[in-house]
Amino acid sequence: MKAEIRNRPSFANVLVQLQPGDLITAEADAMASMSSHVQIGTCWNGGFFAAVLRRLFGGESLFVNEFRADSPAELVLTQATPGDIECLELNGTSFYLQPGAFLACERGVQLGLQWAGFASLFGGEGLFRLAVSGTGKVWFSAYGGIYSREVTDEYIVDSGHLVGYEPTVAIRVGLPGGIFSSFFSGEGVVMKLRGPGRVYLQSRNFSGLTGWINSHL
Amino acid sequence: MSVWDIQTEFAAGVFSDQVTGGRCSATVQCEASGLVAQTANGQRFFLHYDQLQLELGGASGRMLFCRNSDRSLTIFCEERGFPAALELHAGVMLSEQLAGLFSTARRGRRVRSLLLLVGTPLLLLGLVGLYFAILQMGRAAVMTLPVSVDQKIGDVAAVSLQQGSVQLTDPRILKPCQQIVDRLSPYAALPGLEFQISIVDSPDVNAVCLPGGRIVIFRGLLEAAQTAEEVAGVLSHEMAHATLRHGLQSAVRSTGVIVAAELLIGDAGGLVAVIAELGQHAAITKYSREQETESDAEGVRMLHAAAVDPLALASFFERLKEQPQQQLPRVINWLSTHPQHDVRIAAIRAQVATLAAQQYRGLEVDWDGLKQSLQE
Repeated sequence: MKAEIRNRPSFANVLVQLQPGDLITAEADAMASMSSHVQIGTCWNGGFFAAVLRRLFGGESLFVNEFRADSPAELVLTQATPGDIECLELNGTSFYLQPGAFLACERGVQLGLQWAGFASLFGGEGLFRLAVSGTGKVWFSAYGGIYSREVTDEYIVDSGHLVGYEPTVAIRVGLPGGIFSSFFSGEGVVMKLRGPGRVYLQSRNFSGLTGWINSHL
Repeated sequence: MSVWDIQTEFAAGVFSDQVTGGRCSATVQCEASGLVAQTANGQRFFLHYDQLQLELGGASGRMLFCRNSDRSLTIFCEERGFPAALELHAGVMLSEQLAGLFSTARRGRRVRSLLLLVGTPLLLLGLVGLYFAILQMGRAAVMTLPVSVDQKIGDVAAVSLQQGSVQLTDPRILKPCQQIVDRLSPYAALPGLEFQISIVDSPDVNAVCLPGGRIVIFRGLLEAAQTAEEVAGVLSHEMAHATLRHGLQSAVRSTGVIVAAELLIGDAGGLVAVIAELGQHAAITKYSREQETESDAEGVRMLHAAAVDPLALASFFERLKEQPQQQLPRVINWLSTHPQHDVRIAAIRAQVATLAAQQYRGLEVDWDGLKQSLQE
């Protein structure tokens, strides 16, 4: 399977060249276009209970689609919001994605839901996180551009900007400054990430957009 | 547990400049002199126990990082049995570090549990307190709104209240009712309200005064009342709901914190929009028991000020109680929203006893003509 992320960073989409025997699992509604002979199957997102849990707490859909083809075919996957898409190659390792970030993965990648803790909730990132593990490529999407940081000691990220991180990264919630400056600077609560490990961040914050639109309604 | 029961190989990972990308997954084994990590492509890494620096962390808080002194190599493992295996093989070389780490972690967990135990109820209490404080302030904010807001909301609610009903337009019925209202309205507590009546051809014993002053009287009320003073008593109570702005307060209560918060920051448009959206009068004519008691007292005050005998209201309540059972469904509308009438009759009598002396005058309306017109 060959895959290329195109039209980056604003309107990224993944062009997948499927070969016979390839299988790609994608978030519901991620398909933008495909060859007519691509077979599409819909299944619970990891079983009924797991799907319900992922829907309720992981920000993912109840169903995922599996695409395969008997002969070479083309498939284009995309996301709902404008923004970039990143590909991660898992090699027996795990990776955590924030709710709603998962786009697609190859066969061999397992999706799971993990308790992220109250720190994550207070940081505005939800009580659960999506854990991807196994072997194969994972595509995840973001609102805005995606940039990564190799965190060694401590790194501060505003809530709503975290997309994914390695399991070696610890997260706790804190204030960026004193109580007064934290709340009146508009930064509010931030997440303090502690390495070692790589984190992926998005350059825009979706709640920021909704807040801005709300203020104009 | 013997040494043979302890697991010695664990799923782990390695951070090192010597692997592609700086990290990779590996398996780690506790050997006699140190930790050995082996990657999938055969690379081996060794950390001697006496140079190990341990640290707990990671997303789960249970990941054990094992580093050499210059931190150029890190082997990390999250598996449950790993610290025990490490302690068993490294012995005294690491026991102090491990004990320190895990006692700090345990202390942290205890503090977090305590915070959770104490903090959660406090947080919930705070949220409930905030909810009621905002509603309370919303209710106070209602009193500062201009009367035009009451009128707008009353107009919206009137449409839903009168939908599908037949209006009585006979002047022999309308005029006496309007005269009763005109006698009371100069003594309304909220200036600026225009009290306009309409009469609905319905057997229900009921009357409603919407925000802004629109009064809807049901035919059943006029039939049930024996004197014009009794109608005045009921209308004074209903008018008091409007002058005390109970309808707006009920709307704030039933539509919740968002509307209350909007009122506090000075936007009454949300309240009007919500009422329009609901499209029903129920949101603003469902009063609490406290509001009913308040309206009784205010109604009595209005009647007294207008020189109409306030005991007429109490006597109307008493007669409603004596209605035969088969007629109860007709009066149930009014009674259901006005519970505990025995208590209310007593409260009205008690209030009247405290009022200054007043020369009550009868209502100069054509009551017999009204009754006759109703029968026709």
